[in-house]
Amino acid sequence: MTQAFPPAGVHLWSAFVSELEDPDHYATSFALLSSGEQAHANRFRFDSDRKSFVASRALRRRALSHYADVESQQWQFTVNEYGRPRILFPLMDELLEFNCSKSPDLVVCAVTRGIPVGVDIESLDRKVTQGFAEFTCAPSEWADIKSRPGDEQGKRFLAYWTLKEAYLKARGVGLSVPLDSMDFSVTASPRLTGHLEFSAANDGSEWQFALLSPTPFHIAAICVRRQGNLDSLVEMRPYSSPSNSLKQRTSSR
Amino acid sequence: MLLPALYTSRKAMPDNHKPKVSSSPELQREVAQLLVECLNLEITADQIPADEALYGDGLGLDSIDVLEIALVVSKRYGVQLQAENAENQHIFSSLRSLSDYIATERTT
Repeated sequence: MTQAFPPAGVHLWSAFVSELEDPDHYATSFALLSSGEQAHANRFRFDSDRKSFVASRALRRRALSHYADVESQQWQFTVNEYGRPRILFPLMDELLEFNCSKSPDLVVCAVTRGIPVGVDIESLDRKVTQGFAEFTCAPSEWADIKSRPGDEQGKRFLAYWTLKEAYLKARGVGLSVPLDSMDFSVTASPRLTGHLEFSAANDGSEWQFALLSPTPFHIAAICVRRQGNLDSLVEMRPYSSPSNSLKQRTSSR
Repeated sequence: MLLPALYTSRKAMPDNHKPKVSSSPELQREVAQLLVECLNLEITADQIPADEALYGDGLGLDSIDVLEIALVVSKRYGVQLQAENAENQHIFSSLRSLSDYIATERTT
């Protein structure tokens, strides 16, 4: 059955990787994948990475099938020269845009009706080194992080990081934009959101950003190309396999 | 998927091209140990074959992992991170190719 959504809307689908600990659910999801995806899944060294990959690729197929009369197994994908995935088959009158991201325990897939979109998700317990944070942040971002109370600094860094990733993924060209040339500002009220400052490399006015908490343990950033003055609404779509209760777990590699 | 190794920073330094050097088993082992420690992997260094993929599949490194490794490598071996090196995707494709790159570019 196909689903309507607002012309400028974004649907953010999510699924827990822990669902695949049930062998039947793993088999069902694995069977949706192409032979190439299945081979890819089997090349992972760690079970946790394999499950997260299978969950992500299965969610992408299930989510897209909500908007077109296409079975989940039938979608075929290709990537652009920078590795950004897009739909190869079937050809459709209305182009569906999508972008996926995975964390060890939750995978997400953002879908729009023809609007370029990027998404990135991280677990809030993801730790990075200070050197990493300084390397990737613009000076104003780093100053903002350092000004936060100690227990909020990690989350604020992940807000900037996911915003940058979402922006690069929406543009689909990772190479040309240095990470610390993206100068974001994050505001926490009335809700957590991000804004890209204008610079030579980045026209912040072209893109709209949202920061979301798909669960209390995750942060996700979405970037969509702005359509006129219209703000895109982001709607959450948790996916759960039929007859499967959600079991949230924090897993680590 | 974006290619994490292609991420750049304005803080990155330019690079000189040098003739390619193959890495020794000792250096590969050293880099494997660096991966295990840096990423808290639940395997030992000698359990990482030289041709094991680092990201995409294999060890399944994500973009943060790859950049953390790049920063450690750059500090320890004096290898500069680069913006527009078309080989970046290849460099991080396996333990061997990362080690070869270090052997070629190291200054310390």
